[in-house]
Amino acid sequence: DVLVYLFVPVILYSSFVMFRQRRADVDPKPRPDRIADRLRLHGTYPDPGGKGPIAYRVTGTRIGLFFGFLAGVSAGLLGIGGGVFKVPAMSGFMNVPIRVASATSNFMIGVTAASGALVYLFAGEVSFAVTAAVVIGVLAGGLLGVRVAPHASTLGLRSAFVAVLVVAAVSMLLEVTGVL
Amino acid sequence: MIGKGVTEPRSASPPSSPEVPEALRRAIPRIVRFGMFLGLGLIVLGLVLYASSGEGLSLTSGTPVHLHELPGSLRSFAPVAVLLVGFLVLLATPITRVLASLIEFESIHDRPFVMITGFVLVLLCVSIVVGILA
Repeated sequence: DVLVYLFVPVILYSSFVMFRQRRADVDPKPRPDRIADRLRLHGTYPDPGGKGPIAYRVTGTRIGLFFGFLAGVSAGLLGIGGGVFKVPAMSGFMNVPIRVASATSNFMIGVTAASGALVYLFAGEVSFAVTAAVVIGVLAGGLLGVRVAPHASTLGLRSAFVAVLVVAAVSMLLEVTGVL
Repeated sequence: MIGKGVTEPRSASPPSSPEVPEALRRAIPRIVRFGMFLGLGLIVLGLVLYASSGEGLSLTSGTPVHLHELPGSLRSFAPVAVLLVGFLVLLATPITRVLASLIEFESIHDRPFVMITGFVLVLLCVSIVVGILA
């Protein structure tokens, strides 16, 4: 419970950072980052408007590592964490475009969650009915999201994510304080 | 996805570095899509089999998994076995994607990322094996 009081300000602060930069998806000249240069983390991604690839330069790998650590601790303790920490870390602090950040975060969650899920599955702790229903819903939503994403504006995506973060932070607080 | 964030610039920016073979680059999204739709299809089939069998599907209790019983229950089209295989296919898909990344990085001789991806894969396997045995 003590950790929630640490997580909530971090989430709220990162949502504030994301809100402040809601109009500029990436900084064209971010602070140089040795680790990012060394690992060649800079990249390009297809422009949703179809005007060719957009380049971005990654920075803030240390703060990214810290957020990754927080995501791990939070996921281990509360079962939530993943995207709530990873997307703001990449989008708000590491100069990764929101579309790349959400796709990357999604993929990381898939990989890391798969190992835990397999363990629970073999232990017989998984309700097949609930899982089947949720899987069908999530995959349908995911397929729809992938189709809609190219037409969504970056400002819209960032604003929507900020709203999700605030809701997550508030519901975490309400749960810990026993209101929910 | 890692493929978008990491591999594209790798093949695009340093002009001297070798490119990921075309066949491999095309195969990866196909494998991921195949895994997703196969898993989804099996889950839907499992639910249909449940509905037609007239058995109730418990919402709360889990079903302990015994792999040695799986081939037998699959042969008799037991709904629970079909669902289970669907879940396993879905869970194996992202892990297969990591393995594909390893092959991808190896094909362009990108040592640092071969090491990182290999480490991730080993960690995944160890945590799964330890978790299941425990």
